[in-house]
Amino acid sequence: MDINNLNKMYGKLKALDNICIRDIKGIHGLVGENGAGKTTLMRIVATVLEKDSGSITHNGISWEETVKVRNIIGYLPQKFGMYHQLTVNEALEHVAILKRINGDPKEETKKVISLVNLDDKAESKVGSLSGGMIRRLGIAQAILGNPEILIVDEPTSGLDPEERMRFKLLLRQLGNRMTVLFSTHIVDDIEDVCDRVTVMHKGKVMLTGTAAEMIEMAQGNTWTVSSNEEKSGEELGGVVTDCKYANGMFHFRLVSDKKPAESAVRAEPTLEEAYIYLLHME
Amino acid sequence: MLHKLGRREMKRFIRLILLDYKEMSGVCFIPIVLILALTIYGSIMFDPRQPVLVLNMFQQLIPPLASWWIIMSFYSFVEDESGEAFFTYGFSRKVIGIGRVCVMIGLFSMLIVLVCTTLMLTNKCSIIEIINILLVLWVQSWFYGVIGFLLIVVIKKILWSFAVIMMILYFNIWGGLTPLSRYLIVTVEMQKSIDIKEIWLKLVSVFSMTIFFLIIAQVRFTKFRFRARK
Repeated sequence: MDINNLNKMYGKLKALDNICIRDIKGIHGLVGENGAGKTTLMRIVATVLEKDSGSITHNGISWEETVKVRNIIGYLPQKFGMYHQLTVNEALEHVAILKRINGDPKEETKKVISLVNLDDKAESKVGSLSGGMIRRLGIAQAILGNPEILIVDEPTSGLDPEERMRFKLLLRQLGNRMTVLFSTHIVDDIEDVCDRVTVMHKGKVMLTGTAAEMIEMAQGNTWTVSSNEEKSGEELGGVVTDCKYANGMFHFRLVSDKKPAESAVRAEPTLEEAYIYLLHME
Repeated sequence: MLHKLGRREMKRFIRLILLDYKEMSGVCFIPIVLILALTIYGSIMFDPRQPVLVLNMFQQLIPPLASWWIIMSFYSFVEDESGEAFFTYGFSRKVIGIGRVCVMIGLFSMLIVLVCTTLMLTNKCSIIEIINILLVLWVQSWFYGVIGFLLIVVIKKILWSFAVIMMILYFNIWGGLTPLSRYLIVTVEMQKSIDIKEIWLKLVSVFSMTIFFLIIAQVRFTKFRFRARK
């Protein structure tokens, strides 16, 4: 999938500013702070919002052909909760009918329930499921009909660590079968799941590449500094990413494009620090 | 439009409607319970010399209930958190709009048949009168059902759509004859039987208006898009 020169305005606010992301395949992560434009971009790709200008294409299909596009995408929005009175089976059967999938809705439903590991909850009411199970149900409705592109908007936020891990494994598994466009503001998720990543900030693309390329950009700009008193980022001349207290000293890790102090020592950046460096550079 | 659906699609459509009703859960029985109560009350109170009392009550109270299922069936689209995902599904808007509305009004019509059959079985009305009552209530039910469809696709809020219907009901019952109820309700004068000519004139007019509103509602539903909240 290719996204070219995509623009979107909300009144006077430029939500997307000339977004270009080429050759999206495997699991592609979108990372950025709240308000970076990730959800707007996801909604446009999912055909629920109209773009102002630009283009999106995948295997010769243009996003102007909404009907065709809807046959090849699956979408899990940020907020998801559906059919509280129906069982998991029935809810997915309802979606299968609305999606006009080719196979038998009941059979297709069984397949996706098994894939998201909700077999033992198939006859439970949706209203009785936990947050993590609802997200898995959300993924199930999105992959019904075997779409070529799966769009998932911040699926791991609000999940407990076990459910988050389970969800990431599921995405990994799905990434082998389809293109997954996955947005998050949790950098760890990107590191664990994504083949490539796009960093967004204030509606713009800051970088597209692999996690290793992102870390490479921040090489030489991550430092460790020790001090006998607690200091702020401003005092140290950078963005503090970690602070530990040991042996009567404060040990800071910070991101800065210049050496913050004489005693500062260069450190190997983590992905999170690389992300902060990219945003800080702007 | 529905006749164009193949056998497989028709089967799926029926299943979809069944699941819609199941999702409504207990609230889907509200029109049934109210209509049963009104039927029993009407059958007891019906006086052939003064049909106006019961007939007006039926006209005022029964048809607005036709909008209930229709408004509720759009809950997932307009208020549920999953609403956003619905907009990415490839369903036909005509089938989910007009198709579903027609089926739900059709099912509601069975309740009206029940009302009229009860009146007939209690030997309170002649067959001609029953057919006319049936026609009046049926056409009015179409009108209110379509109004429900229009309200939900315009207002996009279940509660406000019901509030408008409740307001209409309120004025029907306690507000005397408002322009809307004067337009809709077939008035039967005291001591007189039902005037068939008047009924037909009124029904043709109301039905034409219903078709007009149905088209507007469907066009609106076809253009229905997700509205991003900031």
